[in-house]
Amino acid sequence: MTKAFSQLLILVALFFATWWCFSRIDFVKHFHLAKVSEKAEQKLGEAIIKSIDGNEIASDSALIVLNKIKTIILEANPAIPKDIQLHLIRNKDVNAFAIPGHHIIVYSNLIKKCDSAGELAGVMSHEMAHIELNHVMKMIVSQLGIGAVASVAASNSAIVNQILQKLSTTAFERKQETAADMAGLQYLQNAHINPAGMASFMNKMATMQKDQPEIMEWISTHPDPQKRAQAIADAAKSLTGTYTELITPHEWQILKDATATR
Amino acid sequence: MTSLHNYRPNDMEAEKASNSYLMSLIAIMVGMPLPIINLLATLIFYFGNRKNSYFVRWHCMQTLISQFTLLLFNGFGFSWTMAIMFGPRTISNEYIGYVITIILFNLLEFIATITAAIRTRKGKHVQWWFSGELTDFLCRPDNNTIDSPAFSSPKPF
Repeated sequence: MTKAFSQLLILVALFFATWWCFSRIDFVKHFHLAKVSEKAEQKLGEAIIKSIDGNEIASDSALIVLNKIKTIILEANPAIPKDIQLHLIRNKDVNAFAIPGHHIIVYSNLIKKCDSAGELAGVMSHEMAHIELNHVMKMIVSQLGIGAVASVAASNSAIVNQILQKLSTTAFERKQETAADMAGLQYLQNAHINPAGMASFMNKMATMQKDQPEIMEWISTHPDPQKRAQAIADAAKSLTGTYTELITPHEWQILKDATATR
Repeated sequence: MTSLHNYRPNDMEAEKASNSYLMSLIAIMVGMPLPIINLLATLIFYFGNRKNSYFVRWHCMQTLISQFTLLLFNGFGFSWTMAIMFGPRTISNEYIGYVITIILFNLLEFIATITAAIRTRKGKHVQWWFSGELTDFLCRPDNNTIDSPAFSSPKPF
């Protein structure tokens, strides 16, 4: 029996040694597996954008202002992918979310609920953190499986709508939300944007959710809004620095006008 | 311990012992995506022959142990693949390395099984590394087996 046991140990050791040796080979790089998944992500993002194309607000000036905020955050944070694209969508829900392919969807009603550009920058930095931390694809794969991504390659519009529905209404994991909150705060701090805006918006949303839960998508898809608002406020208080004005009042007004209800 | 190396099984014993190896190969082909199928087939074959001669039981047990050992490695690979297909995991170098390793081990086992099936069919005893040692421990000869003259030559009809 002792001989059998020692042979088993050798067999297992041999197995793990073989596995370890093969794992040293960078198959993902050699076979361009990362590129394949990047392409699939890009394709998925384009399919989602196409499905909501009709509701996009065609205001160049509003998009210029939104992109100005984005650029300020991006320039101060080299870790965030530079190819992030913003899409302003007319929708009564208060929501903003990241979709595959480095796109961020911002609903018009969310901008209407923002009292300052700092608050909007807070939401945007949070969504940028989800992109940088690759939460979006992880969530799609965990919720719908890798088969969903493959279906998009076969132009399955039902799956595209299902993914859009999931991304706009489903919460990320609690630890992912916390990670995105903290990374978002850091992005703001690096860009000399007052992180108090993010804290105040989160707090406002948590309070408003009690009155209008049906439209407060952004906060309802985030677990424990009150606790998170408090955590962000506490973290924001610990950050100090000199903050610059993000955009001019005139630019803010352009954004507000573009998103006003018609 | 009684040595099976010197034992000369009759034709029926040799065929049954050889079939125990072939059974695992056929089951591999039938149930390729599910690693449990070949183990189940081998287990059924073992229970069907548990009252047979020591030589047959010994080889059925050796196949069973080797299939079970392989199942542990294959089962982990199978669940990892499922986690990638339908769960949160993504393809990594570790995963591809694991798949290559289990393919390699399965291939070695496949070759060893064919060799054992051929050799036992010729009445020769084949003892594998680890599986053979454990089989020696688990499968004991009884009074009615290899030392018995009844099994040293075919029974008359």
